[in-house]
Amino acid sequence: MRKQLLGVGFVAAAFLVSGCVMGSGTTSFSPPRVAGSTPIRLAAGTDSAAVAAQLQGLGLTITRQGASFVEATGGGESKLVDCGTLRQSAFGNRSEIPGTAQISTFYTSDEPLEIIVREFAYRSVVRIDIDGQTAMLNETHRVAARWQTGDGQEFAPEQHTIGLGESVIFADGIECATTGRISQTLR
Amino acid sequence: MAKLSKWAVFTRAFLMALIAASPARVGSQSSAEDQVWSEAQAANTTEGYNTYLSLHPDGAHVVEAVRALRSLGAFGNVTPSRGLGESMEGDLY
Repeated sequence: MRKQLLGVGFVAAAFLVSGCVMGSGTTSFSPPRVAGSTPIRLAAGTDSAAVAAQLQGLGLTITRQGASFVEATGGGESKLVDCGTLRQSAFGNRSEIPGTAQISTFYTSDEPLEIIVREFAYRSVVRIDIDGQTAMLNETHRVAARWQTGDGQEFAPEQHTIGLGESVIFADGIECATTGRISQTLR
Repeated sequence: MAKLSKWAVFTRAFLMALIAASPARVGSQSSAEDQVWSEAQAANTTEGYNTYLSLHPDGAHVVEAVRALRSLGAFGNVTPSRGLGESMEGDLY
C-alpha cells in the first residue's frame, strides 16, 4: 500500500519541521545553509591533475579528465549535500539526526506507537572547468528519500535535483542544499 | 617460547596504543550504542527497542529494532512491504 505523504489521515507531512508535539516529545529541524556559486581562485600552478587529486580526496571518483576540465561523481561519503539537523525528544531521550542519514526513525505518536522510517540517498555529479587560475564549478546532486511507517505503509518516494546555490524541501519538511565543500577545498 | 611471549606483549601494547589513539568520541558513542542495543535485545520488549530508537534514531541497528518492534506487535498488523534498509542507489537516476 502506498500513500502520498501529504495524504489525509497522515499526521506527519511536516512532522519533522513543525516542532510537532507527540505524547512524549517533540521534533524540530534546523535547515542547512545554502552555499552560493562563484568562480574559484585557484592557487598558482594548480592544474587539472591537482584538482582531480583534491576531488578524489573528497571521496569522489573521476569519470573524465582533460587539460582544462575534470568530471567526477560520488555518493554520500563525499559530504557534498547538507540536509540540516533534526532534533527529537522521545521517551525522555533527546537525539540529533543529520538529514542526510541513510536511515533514521522518527516517533509521530507514542500511544498508539507510531514511527516513520526515513531512508535517504544522493548521487553527485561534478564538473570543474579550469581557465588559468580560475575554476568554474558545476555541481548537480540527485537527492532521494522514501518513507515507511512502523506498520509497513509506504509513502510516495521523492527525487529532486539541486545545484549550487539551490535547495529543495521534501514533503516531510527536510531541506537539502549543497555544502559548498568543493569550493572550500579548491580555494 | 620467549620470542612468542615477546611478540604477544608487543601485539598487546600495539593494540592498546591503537585503541588509545582512536577518536574517543566515536569509540564511546559506538560502545554506548552497542550497550543500549545489547540491553534492548536481552529485554526483547517494546520499551527496550523504543529506548534504543529514541537514543539512536539513525543508529546501526535501526532496521533490526524496527523489525523487532513489528515482531512484538507494537504497530498492530503490519502491511507487507519492501525490505527496510535496502540500498537506494539503484533508485537514483
